[in-house]
Amino acid sequence: MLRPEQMSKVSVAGSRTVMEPVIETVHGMNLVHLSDYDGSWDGFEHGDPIEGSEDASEKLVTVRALESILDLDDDEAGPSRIVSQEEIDDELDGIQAEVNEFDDRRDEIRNELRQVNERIESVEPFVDLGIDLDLLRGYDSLEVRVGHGDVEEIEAALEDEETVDAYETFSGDEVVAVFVYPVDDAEGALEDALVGIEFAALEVPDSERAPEKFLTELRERKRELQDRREQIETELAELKEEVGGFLLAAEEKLSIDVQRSEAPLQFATSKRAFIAEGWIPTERYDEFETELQDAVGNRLEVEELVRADYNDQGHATHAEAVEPEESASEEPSPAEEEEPPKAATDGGQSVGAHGGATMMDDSPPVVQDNPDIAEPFQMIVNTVNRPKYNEIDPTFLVFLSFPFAFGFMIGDIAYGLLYLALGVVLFRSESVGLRAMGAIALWCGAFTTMFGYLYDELFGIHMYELGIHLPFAGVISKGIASPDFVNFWLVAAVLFGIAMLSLGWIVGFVNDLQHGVVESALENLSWVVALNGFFVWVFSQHLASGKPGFIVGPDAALNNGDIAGFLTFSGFPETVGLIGLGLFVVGLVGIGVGEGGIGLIETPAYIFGHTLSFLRIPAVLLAKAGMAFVVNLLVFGEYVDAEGHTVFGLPTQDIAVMDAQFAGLLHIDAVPFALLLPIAILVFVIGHIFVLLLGITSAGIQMVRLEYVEFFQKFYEGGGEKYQPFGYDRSHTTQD
Amino acid sequence: MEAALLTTLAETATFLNAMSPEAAQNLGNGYALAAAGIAVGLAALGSGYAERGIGSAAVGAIAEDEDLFGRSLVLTVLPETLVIFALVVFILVLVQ
Repeated sequence: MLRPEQMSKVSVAGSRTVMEPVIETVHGMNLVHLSDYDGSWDGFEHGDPIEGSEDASEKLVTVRALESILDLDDDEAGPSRIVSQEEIDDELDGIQAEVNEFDDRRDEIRNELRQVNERIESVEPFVDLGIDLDLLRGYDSLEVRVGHGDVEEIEAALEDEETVDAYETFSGDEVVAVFVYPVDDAEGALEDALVGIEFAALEVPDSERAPEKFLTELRERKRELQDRREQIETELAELKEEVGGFLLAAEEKLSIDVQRSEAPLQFATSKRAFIAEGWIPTERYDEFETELQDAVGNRLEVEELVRADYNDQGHATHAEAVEPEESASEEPSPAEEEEPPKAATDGGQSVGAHGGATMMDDSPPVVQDNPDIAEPFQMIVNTVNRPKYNEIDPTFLVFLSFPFAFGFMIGDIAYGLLYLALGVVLFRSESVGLRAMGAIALWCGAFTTMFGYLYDELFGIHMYELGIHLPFAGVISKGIASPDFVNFWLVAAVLFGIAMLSLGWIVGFVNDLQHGVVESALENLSWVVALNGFFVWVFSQHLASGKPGFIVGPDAALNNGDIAGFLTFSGFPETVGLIGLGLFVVGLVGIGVGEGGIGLIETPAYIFGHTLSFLRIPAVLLAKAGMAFVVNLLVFGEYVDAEGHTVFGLPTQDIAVMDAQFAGLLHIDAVPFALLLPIAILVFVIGHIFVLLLGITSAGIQMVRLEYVEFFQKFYEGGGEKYQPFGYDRSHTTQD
Repeated sequence: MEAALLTTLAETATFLNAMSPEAAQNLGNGYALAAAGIAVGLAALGSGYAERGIGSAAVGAIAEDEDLFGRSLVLTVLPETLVIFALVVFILVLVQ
């Protein structure tokens, strides 16, 4: 639960003649996380890919290119099927030719369409001008420009230009054509005149025809091209329908082929033998061995080299050695002559570095092992990082704390039920991530509903105001109406923080045990001692006069019979406080010894800051309650009844006999009720949706932060390797 | 100018002296609440300003490597503590 699944390092050694069937079997089991051979053994080289690997890779690239052209999605495959190598060889070329032809034609049309569009754009302004295109160019003595600009400004500029003898302008809605007759020999008179003003010249299209006609022709051509493009798209879609399933299945088969044929790259091979190593879950070792023996017989040696312990990186030098088993091969295999000293251990002594049993000194991959109910919370943990093999997986601790605190902060039956509904929707999704979020939402919703019941709240309205009285409903309050509870929650949050932080350091202590008990205790338990010592002093009578009344003394938050009868704590006796102070100093010394000066510098933040950081829990509780209160206040208004209680002006109340503090939307006499009702409903619905969504971002994110920053920082490193077994999850192909 | 200021001060003093103790108490409470409100607002401004830089850097980092989401989130919400403490102070002022 708190540890990942135990992993074993297995070694498979045999003659190269059986390498292919071994790869096929191991691949089919999808169980072994292969280790890379580091090349350190004499006489053993990295293996070469099995023949045919290049061909398969090439075909795979082709298939993927075709899929990309056809825009083929993974879910368009249809039923899974068997694809043979021959089928791929026979059909792939044909499909490729067909698809490429379509693709070329489509590209051609796209290009032409782009050109036509460009020409349409360039002709449009001239239609607006209404002058035939051939009249706009080809003069010897006239200079002509067409473009965007302000006519008056242009004319003024031409007036001022001395080299301009005469000019004429023609303007359409947007464009202006300027004709200039320059004085003798003056070149570029028009350019010179226009240089100082805003004028964007347009190129005159090369056509003899009238612009309107030209434009009509171009538009016709465009429609034609669009039709052809659509036709090709339709044909491509038909083709996609036809060959999509085959392509996806072929991709899967080729991927598997490539994976298999490249596996020897991770093996150690000599001329006639090969050795492969990898990690598998310990409990599945027997299954693994049996299946391999069944497939290849006794020409193979399968061995469990080590079972990785949790207190180190799983390196063979430290790991628990496995008792030598009877060799799987009764007769010496041809490979054995060339093999290095066998991996067998004698008398349970450590194997590895000296014995040369494991050639690949790597950490085991991590398979998190949590109960089904807590598993979705792995997502929260893995967002930071996957736990390492040798550290405690905090998923279960997050599962215990996260929904609880979330429910406490939101605490409302109606919101809880809505979160549950949201959870159900998400949980039905296909995606693993969304399903996990859905499960988390379900847990949070359940706790929100439970706390909502205890707070007696439905959309921020007390159920008793609606005339519903249920057992235990309302035993606790959020504190909006009863300030006693505010102090109580503040103190409770600090206590919760102390518990979480202490737990964090204790987990850290367990994680660090591999460095030695004393060291680990100094580095972790010192903090627990200092933290608890300090807060024992805070909650003691020592120097009570200087401490706020709600911490110690007769008015202490924990000395409140109104909340619960057992709350009679008004502070530890002075002596206990002094002992606490002593423990604090002892803890500080321990931190100083264990972590040095840096640790001491961190003390204020870790002991004081991080504990008080948990105050965000009651802060969010009150903020959420306050927002829901405001929405209800706007809609129902606030009234004081005969007994002096402040209540919402709900339909169940007889507000006529009450004293109005604030008339809600429903009770404005000056406006007809029929008009008010829809507005009131709108405010109620939008307001509560707003509070509901802010609940996710505030309560959710704040609690995630408490987990990540305050809690995880005390022990969590992360960085474990993902368990990626050698194999393939088939979805488009079957083997039988 | 000086005379006008003195007159205003004198008028204010007269006004305050004429207040009933309850009114003075109310005025004091009002100021306390306003001060606490401003304190929360300023703290929120501080948090927001701090998160602005971290947030944009975090988004950049996530764009490079999506695995950094968790750590980015943690860094981004670190300054949130400022406003949470301010909110707690506000609640204490409100309750006491």
